[in-house]
Amino acid sequence: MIGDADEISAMPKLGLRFWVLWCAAFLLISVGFVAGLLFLIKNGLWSNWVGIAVSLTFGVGVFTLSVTPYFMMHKRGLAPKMREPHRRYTMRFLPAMFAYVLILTPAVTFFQDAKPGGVLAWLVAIAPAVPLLFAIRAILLYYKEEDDEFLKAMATQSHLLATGFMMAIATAYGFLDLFGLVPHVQTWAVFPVWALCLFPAQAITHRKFR
Amino acid sequence: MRELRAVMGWSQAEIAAMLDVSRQSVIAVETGKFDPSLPLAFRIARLFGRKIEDVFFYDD
Repeated sequence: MIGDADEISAMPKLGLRFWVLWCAAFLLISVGFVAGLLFLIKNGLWSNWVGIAVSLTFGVGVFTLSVTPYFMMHKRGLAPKMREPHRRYTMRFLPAMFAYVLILTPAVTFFQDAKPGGVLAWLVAIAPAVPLLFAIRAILLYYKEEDDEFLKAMATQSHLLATGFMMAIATAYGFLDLFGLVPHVQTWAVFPVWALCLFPAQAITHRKFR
Repeated sequence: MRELRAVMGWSQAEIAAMLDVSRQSVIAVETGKFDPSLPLAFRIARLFGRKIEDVFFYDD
């Protein structure tokens, strides 16, 4: 509600019902993605196009979820004016993550099928990392450009919390992996898991300052 | 801060624009959810034409 009337909450409220539904959708998409991957691989249904379709569906789902709270706030007239540093961060981070989803599966399947060598092998292998490096750059630039100390504090707490979640997950999963109880996960998964951890981290941080 | 703002007849959006901060920052400071840095606290006090200790109090 951007007007002359005073607001008593720093963070706009969307209500418990909205966030319960949002969390349910987040869980559904995450579990569905992992279950879908395992099902396709175990049943021999995995192919380049299936992999691209699954990755794209997951990417679109996560993107839709991430913008839904802002869309709802705009719809209800609750959305605070987006400052320029945050707008630039969004315009850098989301395309980078989308590019990552687009590049990952083709790079992996091309590497497995075509078995490139030499420089091409290195280029294909590093290709999925490039968008993630741009995503990390977007985060660092946000800290450099954001001059609003409250918003910067919110971002810092969210990022620290997400890092804590990610470390907890990685540590627990690492030991389960060590004893052969779960499938091995490559270390490249750290950043995507961290990015997913940002969702609950931001929800907790927003709740604290509400 | 809220009382001083009311005296001056400024809205949260107006004071946010004058301080070049987000409206969320103004709300968070007013509601005591966020302690501003010393430079921002000085800027807020200067905006009201007051000393910093007239605007912010240390709460035990």
